[in-house]
Amino acid sequence: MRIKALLKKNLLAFLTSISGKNKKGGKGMPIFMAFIWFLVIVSVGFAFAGMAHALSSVVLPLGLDWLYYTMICIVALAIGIIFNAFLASSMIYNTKDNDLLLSMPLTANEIVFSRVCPLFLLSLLYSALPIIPAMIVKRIEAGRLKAAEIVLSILIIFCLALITTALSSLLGKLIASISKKLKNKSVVTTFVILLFLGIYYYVYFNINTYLSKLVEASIMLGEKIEENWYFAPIRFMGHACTGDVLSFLFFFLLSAVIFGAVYAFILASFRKTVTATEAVASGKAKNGEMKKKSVDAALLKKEAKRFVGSSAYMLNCGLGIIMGLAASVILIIKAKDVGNIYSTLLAMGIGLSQINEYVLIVAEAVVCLIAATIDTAAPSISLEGENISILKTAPIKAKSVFKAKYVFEILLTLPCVAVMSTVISAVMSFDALSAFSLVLTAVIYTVFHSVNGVSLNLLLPKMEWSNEAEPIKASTSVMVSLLGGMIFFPLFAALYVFVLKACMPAYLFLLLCDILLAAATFAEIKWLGSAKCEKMFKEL
Amino acid sequence: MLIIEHLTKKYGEKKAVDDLSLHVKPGTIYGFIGHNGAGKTTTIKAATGIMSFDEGRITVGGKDIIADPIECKKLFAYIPDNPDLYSYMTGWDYISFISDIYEVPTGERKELAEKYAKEFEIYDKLPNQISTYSHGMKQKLAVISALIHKPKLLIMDEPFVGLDPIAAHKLKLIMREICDEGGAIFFSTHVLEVAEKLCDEIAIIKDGKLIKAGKTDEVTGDSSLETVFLELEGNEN
Repeated sequence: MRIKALLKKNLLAFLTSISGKNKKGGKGMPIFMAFIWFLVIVSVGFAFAGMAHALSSVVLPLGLDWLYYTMICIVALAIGIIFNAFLASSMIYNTKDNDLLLSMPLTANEIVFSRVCPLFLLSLLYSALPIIPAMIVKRIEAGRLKAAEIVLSILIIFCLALITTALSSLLGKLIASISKKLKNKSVVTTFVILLFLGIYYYVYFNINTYLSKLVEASIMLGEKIEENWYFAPIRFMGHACTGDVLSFLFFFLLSAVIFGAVYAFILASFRKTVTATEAVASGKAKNGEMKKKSVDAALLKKEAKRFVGSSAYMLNCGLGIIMGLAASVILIIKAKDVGNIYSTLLAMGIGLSQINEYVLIVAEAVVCLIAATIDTAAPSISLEGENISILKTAPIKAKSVFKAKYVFEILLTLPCVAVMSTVISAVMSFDALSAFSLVLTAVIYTVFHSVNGVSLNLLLPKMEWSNEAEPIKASTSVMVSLLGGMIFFPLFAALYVFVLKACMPAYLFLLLCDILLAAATFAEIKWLGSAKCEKMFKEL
Repeated sequence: MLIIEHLTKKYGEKKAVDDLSLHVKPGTIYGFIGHNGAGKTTTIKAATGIMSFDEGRITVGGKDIIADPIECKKLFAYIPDNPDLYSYMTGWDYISFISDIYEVPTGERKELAEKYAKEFEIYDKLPNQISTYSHGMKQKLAVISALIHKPKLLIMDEPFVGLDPIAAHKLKLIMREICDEGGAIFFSTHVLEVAEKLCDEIAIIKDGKLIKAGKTDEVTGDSSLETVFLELEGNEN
């Protein structure tokens, strides 16, 4: 009964989190989310089918069916372990109900088992995603699949899910243990996630190279796996998928042993991991920490602390900084290729000035698009949540609060925008006027986007939330600010390219845009300082 | 009912609780007082089995929290200072979940839930999701769920925070009711007036050490609890 209640609760929590269901979400939301998940699963399935096709065309004609499955299984394991590790940490260890459950008549086994089950379900999905498309591809390309091959390949999904669950839980424990000891947890978490993202995208963009190398070396790889005893588990994994019962039994046993050993370890260390509290040394305030600051500086510092204090906030609203800087570096590295494109266009008879006109407008659209992804201001009022009363009762005007929020986004975005504009101007060899208009428009757009973010959030606040991801990821103000910001300048660019190109040079068009944007920004700042906004703030 | 003997809990080298012993007898409301960081919550977490400890022994109804945690935990209920309830459940779901864990029969859980929910005036809110509840409503729901398995011992960390005066009064009546039926209450509080009026016995903890314990009138003597507490804390002025 107890384990059933726990399982029900954990599965409900899991389903609630993936279905996007909340108190304000209608019944349509879970259906919409189910559709989105279906699309994601189908898309990922097709991507794996493509990978399986590349492998099968080389490996299957050589009769190395087992190697084909081995490679697919390794991919399934790698994906499952990497994607489940952080989830394992939050699902098994860093849950809010640790104290509640530990004070109840529940064994550690009951608590851990109920938390590992949803993780196992996800692991099943991760294992099935590459293997089922691989089976379909093999059926299409190599003809009929044996009954044993189908049955054992499906059973292998369960074995892989056991190993994935075990190893990701182990990594999750490591993450939970380390994170308890970290001082700047959110900064380190952000760094680690960015590192993961970096590795992911690096592998993603180079996957074809790796695959072709893997395919080229498949015979040699197959021989090595067959010859060496320490590759036996991998060999059995592949052979099991081809329908070899003995290999399957061996691999099943191995999976069960790995899972059992890790589960026993997690169980033994569970209480210590979830209740570990590091001693916090008491100390004096650092130099400058207690120094008097102006109201504006204090509010700005609060915004900065809020930003670096939340990895979700940093990752969702500040990732554009990394993207912008990375794009600048890539542009510098690929400067030669840009030169080649110019040469080709010149050879086609298009004049340099004409090319630069288009490039300037497109470059501006790209810079503004990246600036739009840095949107700390759009959820900043909602993020105050219940703490809004601190600001409301403080002897300050609402416009000071708003100012701190948009100034913080400006300060965060401007360096990135400046670097991008300068790099683009240098690589594209823009003349001084074009370079100036590029930088000026980017700066004015940044200010406009930041002020606009605050205005939108004041109009569309989401003050009640249980998890800060709600205002950051799922609020209307963020959605409008982000999407609106992203299509705003490309629309202007299209207007120039298709309508106004004949009337004026690009720099002049940008200067006109600057005037419009500056006027709109000025009007919005005036509006934010009005009595109406003061009243709206008080009513939040 | 609750016996804590020579409890010591360290965080690294720092002793959060140092050789603490106390005895909560059946029929007693026992108040646990101390300044912030004195070791109250650590003691409560150790007593409820949430946190392991370095030395000492804790028993509830004669059952050891380390040796026999499940049987021990069946005897008490714990209400934390800031209950973080499952926001995705309704009030009924939550009570049902807690009842399942404590294996409370269907009829009994329904009867008790209705009784307490009506007393705390949140009966008509129970079909709503917890995410829509105010802090006080969550606190009331935590109290109702704690009472659902008729615990012999109620352990509470700052139970009156967030409760409206009527709910606080009802909780006090329920606390007395539990004691009259042979149960016991052990709770921490900063509200000295409440402790003085409500508690049969009081313990004062400072820097992890028990500095005074006994019957309330013995602890206070001719002074008020506030005066005694301030004297013991060295803050007479």
